Amino acid sequence: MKVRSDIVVIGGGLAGITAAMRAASLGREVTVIRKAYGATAVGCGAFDVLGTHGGDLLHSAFDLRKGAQYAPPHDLFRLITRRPAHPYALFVEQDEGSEKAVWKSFRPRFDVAASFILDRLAKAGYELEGSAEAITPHPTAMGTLRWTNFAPVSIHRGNVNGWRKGGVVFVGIDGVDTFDTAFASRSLSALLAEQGSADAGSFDARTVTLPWGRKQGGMTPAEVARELDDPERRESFVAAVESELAGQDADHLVMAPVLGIDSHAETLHLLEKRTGARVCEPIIPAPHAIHGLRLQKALDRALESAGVRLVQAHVAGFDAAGSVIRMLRGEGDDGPFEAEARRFVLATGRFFGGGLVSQNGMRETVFNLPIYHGGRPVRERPPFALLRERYWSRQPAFEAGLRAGRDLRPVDGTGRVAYANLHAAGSILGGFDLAADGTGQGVDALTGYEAGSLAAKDVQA
Amino acid sequence: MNRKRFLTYAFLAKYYFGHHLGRLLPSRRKPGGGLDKFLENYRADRIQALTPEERAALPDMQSCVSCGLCTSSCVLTAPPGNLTETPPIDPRAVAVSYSRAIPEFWSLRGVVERCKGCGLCEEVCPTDTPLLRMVRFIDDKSRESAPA
Ligand SMILES: Cc1cc2nc3c(=O)[nH]c(=O)nc-3n(C[C@H](O)[C@H](O)[C@H](O)COP(=O)(O)OP(=O)(O)OC[C@H]3O[C@@H](n4cnc5c(N)ncnc54)[C@H](O)[C@@H]3O)c2cc1C
Repeated sequence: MKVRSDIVVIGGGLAGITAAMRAASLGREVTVIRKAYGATAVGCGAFDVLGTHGGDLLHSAFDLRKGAQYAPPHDLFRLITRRPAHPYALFVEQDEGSEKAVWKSFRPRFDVAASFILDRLAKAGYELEGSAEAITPHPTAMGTLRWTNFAPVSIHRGNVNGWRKGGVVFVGIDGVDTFDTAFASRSLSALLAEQGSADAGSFDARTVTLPWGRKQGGMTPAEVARELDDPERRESFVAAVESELAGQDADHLVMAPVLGIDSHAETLHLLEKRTGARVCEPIIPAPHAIHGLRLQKALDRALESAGVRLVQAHVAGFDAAGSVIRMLRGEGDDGPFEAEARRFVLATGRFFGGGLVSQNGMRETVFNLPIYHGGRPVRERPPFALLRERYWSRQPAFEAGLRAGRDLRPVDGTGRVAYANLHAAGSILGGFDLAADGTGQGVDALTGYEAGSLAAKDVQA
Repeated sequence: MNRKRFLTYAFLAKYYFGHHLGRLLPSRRKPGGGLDKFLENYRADRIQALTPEERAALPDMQSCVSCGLCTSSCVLTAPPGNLTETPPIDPRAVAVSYSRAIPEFWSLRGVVERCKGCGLCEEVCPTDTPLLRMVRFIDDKSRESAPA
């Protein structure tokens, strides 16, 4: 199989799809090549721009519970001072030096990128709510609180700051044992009481039995979610919840996060209509949450409506003439595969997505580009230099990635642009820890949008 | 070289050359001889021999990180549902149990027998785990190892 287009994007996670849709919106012919799903499909649904951290950075969840102020200009300034290689640093005018000025240069660029992708996702049936200026707490399946900037509607409706006084009921499903409702409701009520939210109301836990559920052997969350995409199943589920809650004081329902995969919003609205309660899903802090899968599938739908071709293939090699990439080679579903383009975007993610591997040292998998940490290629250092003994310390191994300048062109081992027609986007870029820094999807949206714009502009030039 | 060391080397040399010379001759394996005794000893544990190809495929088969994305794509759980009639199937169970022991594969028979080989699980797998190959492998091995 042979593909030709103006731009080829390698990788179909949040970053790659954002880049592809952006380039397509500028009139370019774009192809996305993807071997499988990556990190985007296992994420917990929180879309962090400047989120919470366990480490040395801005706010921990603990600080916020104690009433610390969330102040993005200050937080961004600290972030790029402490992580000078963070991709956000490529989007601010640093010479201005003040917190306000840094934020003023960042905010409009971020807003353009975020509203582009959020708008496309909403049209594909996956709506997010929130703001880069604020951070809101949402219950997790453990009954803890997780703060984030943007979240899909089903999570955002659980913003506890907006809860009115009244009854909170955690509703689980018989046979799905990844959501222990009694445990979660006890934890959350204790947490809110400690925080002084005396008006948090009453907490209760309930379990519904699905008439069509498996009686023995349990069900995976994915199985139930897929069943609920079916209107008849949805109806009988909602009826089961209704009868379980009869006579119960329920203003807020925290439902097992399995309301559907492709049409969970419909289940949510039907539940709200019939129970009169405000319904949310908790965040599941560990993979694999259905939230990530929904996001990935919505991205795929958005990509299709944008007229971008998606090819399933594993890119394994390339041809270049000097510093210009001509062609990618790989293995597709039906044999060998080649893709020609004038510009390429590398959005292959990190270890989980497949962009980086760590076997006899870390390397980038498609172009064998050097991986940087702290301004130097990691190959120059012994492997243990990238690991710290203490779990909560910053882990260089998880911050390492490609290095690029403002044009998002990755550099070679000497610090010069590696290929004139290659841009990189998303988590393959180094300088941040995507699990600990609370900036994961923000980086994807911003760098994806920018890489798409740059590649499209290059093609024109 | 002292005498003890010399005798040790001589002993090893005798068996080394004896073994390799012996291999040039036509097989003299007696039924009930060493190899059969050896295999007999392990039969109760259901340990089986692997071919070199099977052994070469092991590292790939062990690449599952249990992310669970395959569970949501497996056609056997797709609506219109058949949850009540079927035992749970989870491609991840196949991949994870692979990292357990071959003698226990028979416990997965109910799962692998129902696999239709559509390959949707492999299409989404981030770590390129060869799930279909594993299903065939488990199917083969578990036929030999199932308890009577
Ligand atoms: C468990 C987990 C939880 C997270 N939670 C959060 C969170 O709460 N909030 C937040 O903001 N961020 C979170 N993140 C971070 C965020 O999910 C990632 O930063 C983001 O998904 C990365 O997107 P990406 O497009 O860069 O990479 P990925 O989504 O990993 O996509 C990489 C793509 O490249 C493809 N690919 C790789 N190599 C090749 C090749 N050779 N040929 C063809 N295709 C290839 C892959 O198949 C895949 O499609 C989390 C990450 C993880 C892993």
